[in-house]
Amino acid sequence: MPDTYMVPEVLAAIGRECSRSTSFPISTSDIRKWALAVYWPETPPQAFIDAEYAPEDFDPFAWGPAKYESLLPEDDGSVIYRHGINQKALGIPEWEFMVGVNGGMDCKYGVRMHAGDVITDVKSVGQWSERQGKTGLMLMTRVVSVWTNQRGEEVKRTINTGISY
Amino acid sequence: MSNISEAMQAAVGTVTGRTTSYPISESDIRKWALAVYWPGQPPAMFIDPAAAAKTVHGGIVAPEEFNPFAWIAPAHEAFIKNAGKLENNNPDNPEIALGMSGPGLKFQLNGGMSVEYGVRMRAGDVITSESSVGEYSEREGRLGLMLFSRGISTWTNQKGEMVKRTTGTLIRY
Amino acid sequence: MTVNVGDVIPTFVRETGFANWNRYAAVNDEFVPIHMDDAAGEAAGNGGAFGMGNLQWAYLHNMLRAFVGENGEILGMEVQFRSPNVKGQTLTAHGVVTGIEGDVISLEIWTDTQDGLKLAPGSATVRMGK
Repeated sequence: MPDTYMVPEVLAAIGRECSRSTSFPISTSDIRKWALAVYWPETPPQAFIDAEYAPEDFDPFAWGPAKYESLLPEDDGSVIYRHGINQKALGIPEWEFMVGVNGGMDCKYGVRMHAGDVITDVKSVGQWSERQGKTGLMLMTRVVSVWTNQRGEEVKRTINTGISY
Repeated sequence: MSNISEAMQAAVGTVTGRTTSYPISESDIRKWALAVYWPGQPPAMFIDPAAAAKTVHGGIVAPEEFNPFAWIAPAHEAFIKNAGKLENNNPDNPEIALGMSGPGLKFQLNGGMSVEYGVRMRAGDVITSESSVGEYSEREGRLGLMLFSRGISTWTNQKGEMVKRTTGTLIRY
Repeated sequence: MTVNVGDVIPTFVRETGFANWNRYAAVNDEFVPIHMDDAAGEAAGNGGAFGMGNLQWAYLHNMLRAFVGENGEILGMEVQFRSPNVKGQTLTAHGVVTGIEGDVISLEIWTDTQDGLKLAPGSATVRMGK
């Protein structure tokens, strides 16, 4: 285990855009089924059954994007990073961690998603940090994911924290 | 001895219900194809409009076995009134649902289904399913006298064209 | 392509378990305890959770669809579910041409496991794509 994870390659990666995914158009059926699943066994609000708009937590990338491109020259884009980023292609040292867990998400919502919308997700590297834990030095990785609709309006900005140790 | 009562015989042909689907979306078709071909890639005709346009169908059609009623349907009419209360895994459920007594057999198993296909389902289609009571028959088998009962479901699209006719068989003994 | 009685058509193979069943449950809204929970499957006398008959049905369609081509037609199918598809089985959909009448081809179809256990035998009629 290194004394610090905050090596130059890690610090240099902050802010780099890693991938861009484009969704298929959202269908009324996608919205309805999502709501049925997350409200089950209760009936979802009628607005979702009628698919007036999507629940905030709706994921138009479920089952795969319509288009995916890596924005990192070192990545050929053959592997789709749905939630994370290609750390190897960013030049991040390949530390051997015992455990990797989802440390949480922080979301800010913009405009609603509606049927017919095509969402674009651009993922970039957020702030890194480290902390001494019981089992050693822990690395906190933050991935920033910005979703916009076909009019360029921001739908959602998520910071996902991964913890490795 | 027979487990087929006069009431059961008289019920054959009864239309029991009608369900209408929401319009089928391309997304429904794509996800269905992804699931049933997983982890392989589905044929382009189910996920790529340009490739689908070059087929005889002239666009995306659903796989034959696609179910447009999964999750929710906007309209369902039940034509049988005063039906009894169905219980989980009760072998008499088919007759209870018709408001009559069942044969009281203890075991049941899925005897399979037989399907006849008509026109293809496409994005935008609204499918109507009509259920009816099929024939009863009996046969002596290794488990004793076995009762075969059939349920028929006929699907049509918004133009009234037949999409699919399914006959399901339940075996009870 | 010339089709003759006795022709064995290309198979469709899947190793089956929760990874397939959960995906099918998601699209078909088929969240039934016997397909999701080993204890429920065992209580139903199947030694554990087992796959949906509907998914085997779909695999048989996938096999026929590849055979007839994208412009072909599956006219009808019937199967019987004889044995459960339990976790870890490699399921193979098979088909053999049994008859040809005009442009309608009849086939005997079935699914079996890596040990040759036949799970769902049946028959189908198809028309080849032009």
